Amino acid sequence: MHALAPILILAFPFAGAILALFTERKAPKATAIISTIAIAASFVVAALLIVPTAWGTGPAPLAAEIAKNPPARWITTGANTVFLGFHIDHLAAALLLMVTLCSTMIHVFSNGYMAGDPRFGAFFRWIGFFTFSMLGLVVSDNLLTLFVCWELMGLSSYKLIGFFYYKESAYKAAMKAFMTTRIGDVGMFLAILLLYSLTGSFRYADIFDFIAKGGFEGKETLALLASLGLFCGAMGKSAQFPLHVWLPDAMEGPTPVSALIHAATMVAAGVYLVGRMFPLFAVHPAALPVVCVVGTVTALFAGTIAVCATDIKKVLAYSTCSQLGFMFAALGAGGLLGYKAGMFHLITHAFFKACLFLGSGSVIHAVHTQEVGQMGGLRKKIPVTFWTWIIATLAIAGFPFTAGFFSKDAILLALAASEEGPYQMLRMGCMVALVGGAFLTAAYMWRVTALTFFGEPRERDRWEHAHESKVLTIPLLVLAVMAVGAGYAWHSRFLEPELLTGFGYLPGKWTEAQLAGVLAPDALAAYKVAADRAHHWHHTLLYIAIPAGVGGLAVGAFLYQSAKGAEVRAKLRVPLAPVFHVWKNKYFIDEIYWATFVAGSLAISRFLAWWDREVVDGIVNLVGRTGVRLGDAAGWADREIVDAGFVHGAANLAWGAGGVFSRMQGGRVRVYVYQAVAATAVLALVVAAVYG
Amino acid sequence: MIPLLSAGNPILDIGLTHYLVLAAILFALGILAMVARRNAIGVLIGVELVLNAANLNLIAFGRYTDAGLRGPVFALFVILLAAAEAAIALALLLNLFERTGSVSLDDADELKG
Repeated sequence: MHALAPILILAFPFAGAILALFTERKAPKATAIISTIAIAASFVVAALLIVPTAWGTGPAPLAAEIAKNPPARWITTGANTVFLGFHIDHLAAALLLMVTLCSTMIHVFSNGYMAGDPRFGAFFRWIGFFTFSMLGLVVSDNLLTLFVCWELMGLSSYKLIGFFYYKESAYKAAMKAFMTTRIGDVGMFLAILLLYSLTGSFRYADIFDFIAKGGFEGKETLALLASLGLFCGAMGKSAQFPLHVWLPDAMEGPTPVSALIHAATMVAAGVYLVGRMFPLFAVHPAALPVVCVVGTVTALFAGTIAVCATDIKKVLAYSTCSQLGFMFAALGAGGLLGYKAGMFHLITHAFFKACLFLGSGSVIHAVHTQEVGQMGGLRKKIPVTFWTWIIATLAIAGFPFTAGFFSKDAILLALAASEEGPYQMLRMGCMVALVGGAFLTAAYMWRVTALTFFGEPRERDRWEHAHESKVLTIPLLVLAVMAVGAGYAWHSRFLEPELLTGFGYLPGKWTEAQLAGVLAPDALAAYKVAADRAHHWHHTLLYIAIPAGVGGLAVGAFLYQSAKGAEVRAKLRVPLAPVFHVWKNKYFIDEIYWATFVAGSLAISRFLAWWDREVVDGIVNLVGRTGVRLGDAAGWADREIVDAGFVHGAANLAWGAGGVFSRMQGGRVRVYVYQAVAATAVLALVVAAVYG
Repeated sequence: MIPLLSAGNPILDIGLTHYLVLAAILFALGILAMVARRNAIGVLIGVELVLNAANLNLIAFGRYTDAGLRGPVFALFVILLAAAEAAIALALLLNLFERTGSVSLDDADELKG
């Protein structure tokens, strides 16, 4: 049964999506319910078959069971075979649980939110397929099937972002998401091929074996290239600067889709990829710092844009960008702590971001607008949404004892306690910047909370008609519980890096005797130093992280909920106008891309058109004209030389020769006989001369 | 003193050369008939003489060399051919006579160049 778990987890949503193809038109409601049940079944399988093994002690029976089944042969070319197989370790188990739970809640929510849409059934088909793709990505044991699922997700996201395809902005956003992520995928695919050419396998196990055996010694630059190529793909999928542009536009999709993209699927894939290939990133010392810096830049960059956004979904979109930046920064810190912190934040963030997005969906459902300027005072009209939103906001802001508090603290700790070396100061700098990022997060989240739920309703009509329903609030409640509860995953076995033990990343809870069993004395000493450093920073950071989060919330509350704050805002509006202008326009990134890449490719197209018209066609015409000239010359030669010389000449020659030879036939038989005898005599003489 | 009719006399001891010389004489006579006669029948007889000269050669070679039976067999073929040839030639001559009232080859010169 355990060995079947990964197949079952994949089969339910896939079967749901296929079934929906046949039923979505005739019975959209039934299709929705079946899809929801299918994904819930996946969750049950994940919870019953994976949680017990992940939380238990001793060797994980699941991994052992799956390891018993040899991977299936897929493609055999010459001596190489590509295998298909499943790999479920703690990381995959944690993600399976997170993805299926979030997706189930989003399915339930969609039953209410999407009701009445003409393509209600098709919507469930695509979100089911989206979830299936993500699950396939998580359980695959090799980079090739990971890449296939990765692209399936790209397809599903394209279909879902462009779900309202009759809106110009929606199909353009879908196109933008597809194209932008594709840019990153080129680098990723090249990296996969590079790894294949080096190791001869797509499987993680083989690649890690290759690394552990020192296959990259003297070829560290190739490892750097491969890891940066993979990171390109991760940057595209996880919307890191400068490939983040698609994520805010993806808000054109229905709100549950935004929740799915931002929490359970899609953006999580990029972070998962970096976490999964962590040993590769650790080969070259410069690979992880690049990840770290890109993450930090994105965290701050997106955070500042979120401060100025007025669309409730756009605020959340930029906050996702920013939080993904936190995850990459954590992974970039390197070491066990960095890995754990990055993956931990991925999971906690999924729950509170899904909660926030579904909350925003509930708000939009209530007031039929996304502009926070048209909301206000909704606290009393939609209380369940309000309270769950508050919990998720506290979580994302890093309020003590919520999930986000633990994970953000872990990220800062990983950066502060990162290993000594040339990049230590860089990571310290990133840590300081991320404290600022955490403050910004708290501030803009409370700003949007204040504008939506507190104060007086700015548009009375909308406020009067606001309401919420059970199908919308139950998922919110579940996710709000997880937004707090997921923080305790830190102490589970979920985040223990099974695959990484071979690389010196060891579970934190091991006793010294256990450690001494697997580590050489100098490695043990280094491990102890790192552990001491982490312990030392742990307490210091509490004094930094808590004020940053709580302070951000307080500043948000002060500026948007007090009379004095309103005065301060009025005073600041003029001197800070240029800054807000830049933030409001998202640093003009879209404009820059339009002026450079889009206009550039158009210019290249125009140049190529000119080249085609003038040069290529010129050559074609030249060839054509040359042919005509040659034809003329050949015609002349034919007429004058061939016809006059050869054809007529031959005829004339034959005519003349006939005239000469006809005289030999004089009608006298005896002359013929003379000729025959003479010819025979000559022939005989010749034969005699030659052979005689 | 070599006896006139004894073996070993290179002139009188009959051998291959004698046959060849005889055949050559026959051949020459045949050619002469073909060239000199105006009557088509005479030319035809000359052709027969030439063919028989060849036959004589074939049989002589068959007798005096290791050609064995191949000589007489070829001669047999030539006789057959000669018979066929004579039949066709006589048929042609009959037609010629019916047309022109003569078998003189000097009158049959319509195909000249």
